[in-house]
Amino acid sequence: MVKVALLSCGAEYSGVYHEIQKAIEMVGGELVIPEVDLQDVKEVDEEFGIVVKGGDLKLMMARAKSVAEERCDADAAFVATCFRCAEGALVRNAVRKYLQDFRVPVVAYSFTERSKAANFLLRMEALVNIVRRKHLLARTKHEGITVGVDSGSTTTKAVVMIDNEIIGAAWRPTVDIIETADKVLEEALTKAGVKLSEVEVIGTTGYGRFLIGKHLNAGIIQDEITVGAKGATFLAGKQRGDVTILDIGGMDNKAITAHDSIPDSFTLGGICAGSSGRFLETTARRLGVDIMEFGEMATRGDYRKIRMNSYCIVFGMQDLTTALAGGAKAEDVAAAACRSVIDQIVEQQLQEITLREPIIEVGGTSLLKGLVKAVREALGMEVIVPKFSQFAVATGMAFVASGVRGESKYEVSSRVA
Amino acid sequence: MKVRYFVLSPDAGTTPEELVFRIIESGFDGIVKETCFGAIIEGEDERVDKIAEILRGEYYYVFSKERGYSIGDKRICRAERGGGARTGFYQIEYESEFLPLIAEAIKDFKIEKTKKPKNVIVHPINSLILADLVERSGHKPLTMMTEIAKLVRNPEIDAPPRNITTEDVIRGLKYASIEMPSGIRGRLGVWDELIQNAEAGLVANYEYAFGCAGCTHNDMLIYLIKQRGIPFIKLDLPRNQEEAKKFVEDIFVFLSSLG
Repeated sequence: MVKVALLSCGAEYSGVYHEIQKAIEMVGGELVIPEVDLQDVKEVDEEFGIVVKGGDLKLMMARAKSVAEERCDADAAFVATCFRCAEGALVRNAVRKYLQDFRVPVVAYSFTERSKAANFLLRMEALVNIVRRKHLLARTKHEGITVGVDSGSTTTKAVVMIDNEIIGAAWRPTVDIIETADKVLEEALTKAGVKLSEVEVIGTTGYGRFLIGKHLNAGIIQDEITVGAKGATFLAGKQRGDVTILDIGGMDNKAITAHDSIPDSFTLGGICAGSSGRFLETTARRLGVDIMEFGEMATRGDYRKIRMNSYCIVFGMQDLTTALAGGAKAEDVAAAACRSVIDQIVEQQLQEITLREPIIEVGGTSLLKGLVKAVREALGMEVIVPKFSQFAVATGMAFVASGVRGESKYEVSSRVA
Repeated sequence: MKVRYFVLSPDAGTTPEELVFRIIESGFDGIVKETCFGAIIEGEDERVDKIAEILRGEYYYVFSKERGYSIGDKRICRAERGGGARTGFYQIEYESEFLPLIAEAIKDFKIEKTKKPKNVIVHPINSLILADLVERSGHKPLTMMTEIAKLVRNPEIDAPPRNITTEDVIRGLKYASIEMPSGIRGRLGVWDELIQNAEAGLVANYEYAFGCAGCTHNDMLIYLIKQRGIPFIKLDLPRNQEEAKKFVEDIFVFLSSLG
């Protein structure tokens, strides 16, 4: 049982404590509350260098110290405070950084009273898998014949790997989840020249992972955060050392920091479509160009020439439309849309992790050159877009599946049992 | 049904075991649990309150406040909730440090019990010391513990550990918009009845407050007490015996002025 230390302030009074607990238990974890003394609480200001007023925030820091010093039996930590609490945000970030220094896998989250177990589930699943499946993520060489299927919100991808090489890959827009997965799998196998009967293990990931996992009789089902990180480091040839993986998806986005391919912290967007590929698709449609052409177009534009007052897919789009009506060049509008997406991620999400170079950009949007340019400029960091970057998650799944060859169905989360 | 903490001043000559023995000896027929700081008892309201009266009369160094949860409630049991102490425990631990000063200050103080009890809201809202002193004067302390008791004993709500739900947080919008964190709005939703029913306020500056009073925005309660236009007194926790004497005197003078 993976023990997850809950370091939170406000959860009990926001009505979300039991939702967090439920999510931990649903992924086979166990909630742990670290034991501390009042004296520990009194010393945290000095230890962390932050003076806060709230007693429960001080207690949260003291409990983090207990985890870091291994005075409590915890494998990972979930750090959560109320949304819109400035002190809470400050402490949440400090605690997250502090635990990372001690190599404790950690995820930070700010909740509202509307947060439900479903909001925490993917994060908890990834956190638990970082610990429970560390050995699979740490492998540096793929062996055998495996397939990874990534049932994403916008597209479904499949990758066939044989002995550390991708020999077939296919994708389609996700329509009917099972039907799309079947077609993509068939296409990837055809391209690879491999029969389904020859495949040793199929691994499934993404939004539809449990549904298609059951349908395809998957040997392993795993969250897209951990396998995505593995796929990105493998494709970029950065399986050793520190990296940050950025995956701006169709409906959400992920930023993951990893060391030796093992994620140690991550943040997920998903509340606002303005920080997802959907915003770019909508802009491309307004400009009357194909999404790939849109990406090229954006490289030729200057985002500074367009005034955007909002990241919102509605109001931001209104700004772009107004600019076009005022005679703005389509290239500049495309560049502004790309910049808007990364700006929102920088301003509202990246505080939850500590960026480490290089940045490996993956996912379908990594093929949009204008977006990659915007990411590079906004972060001021080296950005790598590896070959097959749009298949990083499916590749990671195929890679991880290689580690369970010869085993009976791998421990599947209770969520699908 | 009522639950009460009895907390011994750390320098008291009496042990928790002796305290428990005295509770049983006095004929209490409810549940008694010995703890590291004293005891917790659970039983019929009047009988539980009677024990508080007896112990306060015999031991000036025993302090008492109500508790929301029943003895053995799994929602706050260490074995069930993952090991560590709940936040409210640190509130008691912190206030225990001041009990020797307070106990010495009330030792020879002649407390006159009021015949016209008033509802006195305390800040921090879960304070042991303030709730205890209000009760000694015959008034009724309005504390979070009584509200938590109502919540956790409601079988129709399942939102452990405190049964605070989205509805409570939404009720808190009466006092603060969604620009305020949900944690304080959830508290405000529960405090609402206390704020509305308060006839006086007793406010003390605590360096540390936890649990029901553990939010960074906790002092909003002071503002709301002021807004009610009810009599209130604001004090600092004492750092020495002289300050403790004044602290206790000021509180009892204020409470007796209420009628």
